[in-house]
Formats: sequence, C-alpha cells, structure tokens
Amino acid sequence: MAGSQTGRLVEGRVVEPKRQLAMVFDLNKCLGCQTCVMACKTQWTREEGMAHEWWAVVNTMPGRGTPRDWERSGGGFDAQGVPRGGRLPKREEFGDAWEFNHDEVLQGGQGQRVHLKPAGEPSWGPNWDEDQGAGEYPNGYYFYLPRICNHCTHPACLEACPRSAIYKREEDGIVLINEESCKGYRFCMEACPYKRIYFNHVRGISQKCIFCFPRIEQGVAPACARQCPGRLRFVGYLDDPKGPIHKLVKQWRVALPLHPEFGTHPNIYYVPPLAPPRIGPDGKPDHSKPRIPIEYLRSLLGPGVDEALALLESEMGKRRRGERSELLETLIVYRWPEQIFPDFQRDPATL
Amino acid sequence: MDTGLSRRQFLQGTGAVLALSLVQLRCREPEKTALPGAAALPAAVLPDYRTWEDVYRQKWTWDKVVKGAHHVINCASACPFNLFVKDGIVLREEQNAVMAARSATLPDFNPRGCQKGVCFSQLMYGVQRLKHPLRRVGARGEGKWKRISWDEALDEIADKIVEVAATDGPECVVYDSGTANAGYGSEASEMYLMSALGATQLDGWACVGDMPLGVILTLGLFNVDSSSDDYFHSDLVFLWLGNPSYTRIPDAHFLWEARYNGTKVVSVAPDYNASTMHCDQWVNPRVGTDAALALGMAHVIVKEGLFKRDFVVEQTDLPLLVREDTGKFLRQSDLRSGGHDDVFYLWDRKQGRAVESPGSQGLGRATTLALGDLEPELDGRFEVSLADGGKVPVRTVFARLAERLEQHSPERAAAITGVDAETIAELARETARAKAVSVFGSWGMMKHHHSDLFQRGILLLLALTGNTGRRGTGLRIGAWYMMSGVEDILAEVKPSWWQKALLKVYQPSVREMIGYFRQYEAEHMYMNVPALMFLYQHGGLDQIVDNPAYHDPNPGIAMREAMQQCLQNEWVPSYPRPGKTPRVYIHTRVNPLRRWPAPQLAREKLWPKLDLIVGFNIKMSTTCAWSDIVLPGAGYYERRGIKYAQSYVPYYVVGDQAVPPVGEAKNDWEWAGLLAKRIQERARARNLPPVLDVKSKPRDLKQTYEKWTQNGRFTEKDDLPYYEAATRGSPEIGNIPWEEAVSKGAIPIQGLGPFRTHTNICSDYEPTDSIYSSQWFVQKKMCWPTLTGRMQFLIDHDWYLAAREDLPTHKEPPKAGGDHPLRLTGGHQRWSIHSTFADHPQMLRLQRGEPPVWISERDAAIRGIRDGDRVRLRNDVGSCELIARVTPSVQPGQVIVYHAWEPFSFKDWRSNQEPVAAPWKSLHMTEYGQLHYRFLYAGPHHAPRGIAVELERV
Repeated sequence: MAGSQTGRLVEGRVVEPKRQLAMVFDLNKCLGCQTCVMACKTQWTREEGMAHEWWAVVNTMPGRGTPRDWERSGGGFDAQGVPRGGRLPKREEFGDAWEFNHDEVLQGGQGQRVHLKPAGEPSWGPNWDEDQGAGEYPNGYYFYLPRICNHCTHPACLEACPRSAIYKREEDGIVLINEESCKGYRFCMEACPYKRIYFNHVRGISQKCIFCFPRIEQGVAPACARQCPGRLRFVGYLDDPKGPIHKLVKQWRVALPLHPEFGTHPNIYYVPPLAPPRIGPDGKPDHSKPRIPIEYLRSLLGPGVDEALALLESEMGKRRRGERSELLETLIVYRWPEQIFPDFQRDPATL
Repeated sequence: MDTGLSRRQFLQGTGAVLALSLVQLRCREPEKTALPGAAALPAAVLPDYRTWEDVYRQKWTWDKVVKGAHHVINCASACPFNLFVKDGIVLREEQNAVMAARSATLPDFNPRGCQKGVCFSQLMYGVQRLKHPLRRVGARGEGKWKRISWDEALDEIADKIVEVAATDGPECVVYDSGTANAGYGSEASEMYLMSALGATQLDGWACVGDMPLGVILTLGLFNVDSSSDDYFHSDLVFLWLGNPSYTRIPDAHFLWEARYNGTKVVSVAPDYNASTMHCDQWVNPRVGTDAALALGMAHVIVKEGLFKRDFVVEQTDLPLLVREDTGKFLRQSDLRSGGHDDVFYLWDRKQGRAVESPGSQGLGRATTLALGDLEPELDGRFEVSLADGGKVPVRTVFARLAERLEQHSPERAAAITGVDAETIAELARETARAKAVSVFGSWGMMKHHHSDLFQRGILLLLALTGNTGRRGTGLRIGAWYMMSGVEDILAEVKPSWWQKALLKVYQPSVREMIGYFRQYEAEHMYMNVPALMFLYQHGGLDQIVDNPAYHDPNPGIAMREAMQQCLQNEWVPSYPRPGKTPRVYIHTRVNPLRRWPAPQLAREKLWPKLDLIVGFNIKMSTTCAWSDIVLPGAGYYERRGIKYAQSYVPYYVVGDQAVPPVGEAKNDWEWAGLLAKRIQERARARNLPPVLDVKSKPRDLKQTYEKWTQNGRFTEKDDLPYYEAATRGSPEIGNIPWEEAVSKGAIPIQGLGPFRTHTNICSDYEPTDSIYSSQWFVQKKMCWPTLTGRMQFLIDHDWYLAAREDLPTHKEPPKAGGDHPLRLTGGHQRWSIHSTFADHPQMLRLQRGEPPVWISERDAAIRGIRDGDRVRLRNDVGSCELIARVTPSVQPGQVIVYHAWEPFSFKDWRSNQEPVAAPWKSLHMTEYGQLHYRFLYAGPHHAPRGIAVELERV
C-alpha cells in the first residue's frame, strides 16, 4: 500500500483529503472550566508515559500558554510556503505531571511538619497563567482559548517526519501519528507551530490529539466536544453547506483560524471574543476602543477579526431589537447535539 | 544511537539552534526530492499501514454502561453520567445527556457536567482514597495509623457512645452531618440513627455562610430560584457577586446563550472574573458596598417615579402605616385594647381612614393580598386615634423609605462604591424599563457581614420595578424540587390519613406551612444545633464572635448581650448546655477543620474535650487526619444514590452502583445500620435503662436498631428497599420503581410537590415552560410568609431600629480581624467541589500545585510582591502561606482566596480559614415574625468575605 500524499505539498499544491473535519470554538461561550481538557485526559492519556500529555488545553490569553511561549517557538511555513525553523519545547515547558506527597503527608507520621506539595519546584504547567490576563485595572482583560491539534490542511508535522509516520486521513482529514512507525525523532514537535505534540518518554514516541477518530468512526462526537458543558465546540465537515461549521467559517466568516500566518491552514476555527466596554477615567463606560485591543486579536486570529466582531455585534443588536438572527441561533445551539455536531450525534452509551 | 544523545542535549536547553536547523532540513526535504506525481513520496520505505489505529479503537471499549451521579458531595448542580465499566473498574465517565428542552424557544440542558465530574473515576482509585478502617496510634494529627477491622472499629465507637449517653447524656455525642450529606439518598440513614439516640446533630448549612438573612427578613423565604433556562425570559440579568463560569459550570451556558438572544448581562463584582468577561457591562463596586449601589439605584427609581405603583401597593409593605412616634408599624393593638399585634394598616383613599392590610398575619385564614375595593395611599402623612384616646401621626413605609433614600443619592453611592453616579442612575433606569429583570445572587451574596443589607437593597430594587413572581424575574439563590418519598421515609411522625385528606381540600398558605414545620421541628428535631452555636459554646469561637471591634460600631445590640437573650429564650438551640461537655464527635463525609472559621480555635479548645473523634469519608481529609478512628466510605459509583434536585435543571438525577466498594469501604446505609445494631447490643449487654435527652425525653438505646430499621422495614444489608420507597413514593417523578429510574439516570420532574422548607419555588408547575419562583404570591396573590404578608422592607424590631437597619441601608463592613488594609474575598473555586477534589493531582496540575492568593498589581507592587512569590496572609486572628497571583483583574484593596483548600496543603497545615474572623450579626439572634431559627435554613451564619487582612512576602 502506497503512502498517502494527503496533506503534502506536491507540485506546488497541497493535496487535500476527500473531506475535512473541522471544529469551531465559540470563545464567547467558553467558561475556562477545562472539562474538555479533563474529558480528553480521562479518555486517552492516562497510561504510563502520558501523564504530562494534555492533548486538549485551554489557555488564558494573553498569556504564555502551553507549552510556554508556544506562539514564539517557530515552525509552520512562511508566506512563501517555506518551512520555518522551530524550537523543540522541553518537557517542563509543557508542565510536567507533578507528583504529590499524599502518603508522606497523611500516613507518614510526621504530623504538620510536611504538607501537600508538588515534587520539585514546578516553573510551568498546562494552565500556569490561568486568569492572569493583561491590561490595567479596571481595564484588565483576558479570555480563554481552547486548543487541540489543528488537523491542518498542510501539517508541518507531517512534512517534517523523516519516517512518514504522520499521515492525514483521506476520508476525514484527521492527522495521525502512527505509533508503530514513530521512532521519537520529534521533528514533528519542532515543526508544529502550535506545539500541540507531546513526547511519550516511556514509549519513545510522539503523541497528540487524534480527533477521537474511534468515536468519529462510530458517529460519536469527540470527547472534548461532546463533554463540553459550555456547548461551544461545533464539529462537522467543512464542505457541508448545511452544517454549522461551513456556515460559521465560510458563509458568515465569523469563525477564524488561529495564527493563519503559521501557514499550515489549521482546521480549528474560533469565534473571536467580545468583552464588556472599558471603564473610562471618568468611571463611565468607554466605547472609544475595545477592552481587548483589536491589534492583539488581529495578531491571534488574523485580519478577518474586525469583520467577524462587527458582524457579531450587529447581529446582537438585531436580536436585542427583536429581529431574527440565524447566526446567533446557530451559536446559541437550541438543540444539542443535532445543532452542534449534526453528523456525530450518537450517544456512546447506546453503542 | 547518537540521535538520542543529542536529543537529550536539546532537552537541556542548549540544542535549540541545532534543532532549528534540523527541522528546516527535514521540512525542505520533500521539496528537494520532489519528483512528478506519487513518486515524490518514499512510499516503498514508509508504508502507510493503518492497522495500528486499532490500538485506539480497542482502548475505547467497555463491558457495561451504568448510570451514575455524584450525589453526596453537596455540589449545587445535578449531572447525570454514564459510567463505562471494564474488568470491574470504572474506566471513565461521560455525561448522560438526555435532558430535553422545556419548550421550542428554550435551549436544552445538555450536556451537564464539569471537569471534576468527568474524572471522579480517577479520584475513586486515587492515593488519597480510604480503603480500610484505621485507628490512630500516634498523637492526633500525627499521621500514624494502624489498620483495624470494621468489628474493632464498631465495638470501640458503640462502647463509647453507650458510655457517654449513660454518664453524660446522649447530647454529648455530637454528629456532624455537615452539608456533604445533603442528598435524597440513603445517607440519611445516619441522621435517622442519631435522632434515635438523641445525639446532638450539628446543623452545618449556616456554618458555610449560605443563609440569606436579608431574603428571610424581606420575603420570609429561605431561598428563591428558578430553572436555568429561565434566563432566556429576562431582558436584563445582573450577576451580582456571582461568578457562574466558576460555580455553575453546567448552567452558565444559558446565560451566555441568553446574551446572544438579546438579554443584557451585567456583572457586579469588584474583580473582573471569568463571568465578567462574557458580560455586556461590568460594574465594579468596592468590596462590601453592594447595598449602597442598590440603594443608589432605588433612589433614582423613586425620585424619577419609575416604580410600578400597582405592584408596590399590592405586594409590599410600602403602603403600610408607621407610627411617627415609635417608628413601628401601626398595629391593631395600638387602635383597640385586646387587638392583635400582627394586624397592620393601610390608608384607604376612598374611605379616608386606616384599614386593615390584607395579608397581615393576624387576619388568620384571610390570606389573599387582593386589594378588592381598597385604594391604598402609597405616600403621605395621616393621623390616627389610639386605643387610649390619644392621636398619633403615621406615615407610610414608602414615605419613610423615600426619606431614607434621600441619603443614598447616586452621587453618595458613587462616593461609597467608586462606581460613577451617572452609570448608577442609568442602570436604575434600565432596570425600571426592562420587561423582566433577574439577579443571579447565589450564595456568594450571603457571605459578607452585611449581606442581609445587600439582599434587602436588591430586593427593594426588584420590588419597586415589579420584577418578582413572573417569568424571567426575581432574585436567584437556590431552591429545590420536592421528593415526597424521601420525606415519608424520614419523617419521625407521619401524617395520618385524615391529615392527608384534609390537605386535599384545605390548601394552607406558605406562611401556615412554615408555622407547621416550625412546630414540628421544635417537637421532633430539637437536637439540631447550628454548628456555629456549638463552636461558640464549646469551640472557642466566642473569642471572635464576641469581639465588638469585629462588629458594626452601631450593632443595635452587643453580641454578648444578644447571645445571652438568645440562649435564655432558647431562640436558637445550643447543646450540650453549659456545664456539659461534648465527648464524642462523629463527622461523616464532611471536613469541618477545613470549613470552620478560624479552625485553630476548635483544635485548641474543642479537640481536647473529645474522648473519641470518628471520621467516615471516601478520602483522607484533614479532619480525618486529626481523628481517632477513620472509616472508609463507598464512593459515588460504589453505591446507589439520589442527587438532591436543585431548581436549575428540572430532572432528578440518580445513580446506580457500578462496582463493589473499593477495599473495605462500606456505604452509608450499611455502616449506620451496623452501628445501630452494635449500640443496641452493647446497651442490652449493660441492661442500660433509657437515658434522658435534653428535653428529658427517654431514649432507649436497647431499641436503637429496631428504631433504625423502622421495626424491620429496612435492614443494613440492602439499601434497595429505601430507594424503592423513595422513588415509588414520589409523585414528582411519577411513582416509578427504582429500577426504571436508574435505567435512565435522569427523570424529568412531573410536579413541584407541596411547599417544603427547602422547596421555595412557590409556583404552579407548567410542563412546557421554564420554572420560576414566587408565582403564588404575585399572580395568585397569596400572602408572603412574612409578618405583614408582604415583601417586607420595614423590620420594626427594637434591635433593628437601634441599629438603624429597620429599613434597607448601607453600612461599611467592619474590620473583622483587626485594623488591616486589605479585604479578603473568595468564592467557590473552579477546581473543587468543596474540598473533595481540592487535593486531586489532576486538578492541581491544572493550577500551580499549591493554594494561591490573587492580588492586584498595585497592592503587590507596594509590598514588593511578584507573581509566584510565597506570601503570608495574616490578621489578628491567624495567618497562612500562599502563592501570590498578581493580576490586573483584582481590585486594588481586594485579595481573593478561593474556597475549600485542604489545610494539609498549607505549610504547618495552617489554612486560609485561619485568619477568617467572621462574626455574624447580633441582629440575627432574635425572633421576629419571619425571622426565627429553622433547621438548615436560618440561623447564625458564617460571613467570611470582606474581613481585614494584610499580605506580605515570606
């Protein structure tokens, strides 16, 4: 069986899969609760060597994120499609799975001389800058950015793997690392501009989000999406004009790719965050500029963010006046799961 | 291979440049070797085998799916789960998302859950889990344990209970049911046992600071709330001191979806929190000044005539007449000798005289608020003739309130709160204009010293604007759905057939029902003692509570004096009485040394008095660590359970037993039954005559087990009969068998049931609409359960008059804890349900591993504190060490420590509760109409927010 070309640059064109799965995360509904993170952890990454792996994370933005300073770690492709150099993040930059001393504290016979604490002196973790934000009181700001593997149309990880152990599935565009072929060279970790690949130090292989393909194949939405109590993770095929993904990404263009300049054409899209107006020096609501600086959002979600926010605000204005808005009805999700992942409605308990 | 070596070098941080060049090389390779077509790929070398994918497909398999729930954890949410069991282990859990929408225009409730609930399966098998009974062999708290058998443990506990009951009285056995036991499941078996013994049972709810005293004073109800989808019916929602993105994870989506639907959501909080970020406006008053903000708004509404006159005249006490000489309501007893002191008056415009006010408590069965032909004056000064022939001027409550509100102009409110005056005025106008306004208050609004004033001010706003008793309106704190079958099992005295029959034709008012329950509690449940009263008497808390410096300078009455009167008159129960000493303390699933204010006092004063401290828990908590015998309790997936049904989601959530208890753990039902049996055996062996309880009622310990089994109805071996009785006896869920309930996991409510102290919804059930509260009062015009029968803003009790809290007002928070510059606030944290998940490694890894304190950039800079520094939080009462989190989100002057860290997570086990100097108000110690002690729902309570602290680098 020949190796697939899907996802590779061939003759100046990226070979696209037959269909591409995508997600839209609505940042205006994200609670930062990290149920997605824990759902993924419980589902896939509990085995030995995987304790520090969090295939799904939620970062407080602005922030240094997971791994630390991932946005400035290189990788991906430049505007000409030439690979950019990338840095290999260290394990502690992701945040190690700190061990705790429960036994010593509670059964060790040392009374109050010892207390529960992580081993070592952790300097970073998957949610280290939780709720920190930027700005100055009362005009501080922050928002939550859930992140998983972007299952890119042109995955830098795939191109970087000397073993061709990484492939993009023809039928749904899911990007996977073949754990049997992977030899742990970690070029993928350097190449991925989103730094969403972890290294399993026990098995000596790279691992990452698999878009819950065993669930997808059974018509069940990925764990992070199906278990999200904020109901903000839409799942579907990008080419389905009736589905919410296509509408949000292509029709209304209100959902935008993260750091499009990384050049990998990511397939996770974000509805940009609104925020309450600033409080002016006179104490009154100050509408002269947004609380979250627009330059910052542009740097994150690209130039489309102005239009996306403008559309969102005008539609919300319509709704407040009692007019209908198909966009807002879509984002509200009156009926779960049929309106949030129409093709993946199946309840796993019924399998 | 040398690759491995160089890789390690990269990991040490020196190989980044090399790595960079390597990745460039790799990425370019396909281009460099590019040949036309498929030959571009090294396919022959690297085949695209996909069979490895089966590994992951195989990982996602299971033997069976069982319906589960997290039912004895005192989480406000109720979330049904599917438990995936493989090889006898609960491998993982996932939400059982089967809850339908209430109507076509409302979103549904799926998928309820949070990051804690989706990983209990890891805590369940975690290192902190208790698996065997343990006996302390070192000093208390030393952490030296010996494994013992259940028989040994039960023998020792039963012997001590029997001995103490015989020599000191059964009230010297103290049982702490705390709040974690709140549920509709078999955990009630312990309470049943302790009631049979006549033991002191600590009423723990007030101890967590959840008592809405202002709501009780104003509405006569303990809690009020609606279903979460009702936010869709509000066009303005205030999140007032709440942070639902942290504390209501399964329900918060309704708020943000309502916002998309056109609802304006306003956050009122000193800090920019995880909920504020999704709001349309942020109003940031200084810590503890919320009443001033509400009154500033009320000022504008009154001044600009924006209030709903019809609503105010019918539903509130504002048209009632008040004597100018005393400042008290004009009462029938003023007007004629022998008249009732609970009949009040309005001034009828048509008749030009004072007439009895509908709803007055003294009018007995005439409980309607309907005014009929009356046309009450709202404003004005009149004169009435008293019984003694004298004349006295009277004014309406409204007139007096308007005068009081003169002192609360938006400008004045701005000076107090720091919020711009025009912004306050505009919010007031918006509130008056909106069709439906609701206020998310939750229990965060209960935890400040002057929380009652916050609530009275906010309720005034809602009353003036008619925002109560309709869809999308009202203050939202909490309410529950009834489960009659559970009540039937637990009731000491069951209603007779004729009482049941009578209730079918005679529908009592809520006020009458509350009166009935008050009497029932006094007769049958008098052993319930508010935990804080117990700590005041026996645990050293009097040191803090009696300190006048920690109270308002004008408290109305000094705490010591109020307490004396309270104890003398037995307004609030307090046992063991002075002269007696608690000797046995049994805490089950709760963690009092984590929860109690200034717990160091209890360890110092209470602990030495106790001969035996027993803990029953799923995990080794701090309090277990300080106990003598520790017993392993079954986790949520190892027993049956029924989650208490809070109003957010109109479903009952039940869980089945998925796997046998871990280790030697036993469920609550079995352990309580075994203990009952053992006490009976020991009492019989000693031929112990009946012992007298605090009310001299004989308690025959020789019949303990017989009583516990309800004369053979139940046995400790199987709790299924309990669950059968609970579901089959509950018309609210259709009287279905347990098997059917647990095959679904979530059962839609089919009715709200009768009024009970915990079901405060007070509305008829409409199957295809959201559920909202107080419809009976507003739409059906049933009197409110207050003295005046109305939403009552004047509390004309002498103490309240002396404190100038007769009407809603603002008071600065006292400097409880000493003269320190910062104010400590908090809230439920995102990462734990009380302390149950607080030490879970997975949760800690998603934080910084240790308890943090949040501080503003300004205050940090002044103190030379940087993010991540170790800092000491201290005041005159106690101190603890924390990790500093410096952020622009926190208001200068405010520091935040979120709730429920295990004390063993702090250096020297000194937790953030140690500096918590939290006296409750002396005004709450009295009885007045709707204000009186009620088991669980009203009593002296904990006010941990806003205390005075300092922070310094360690």
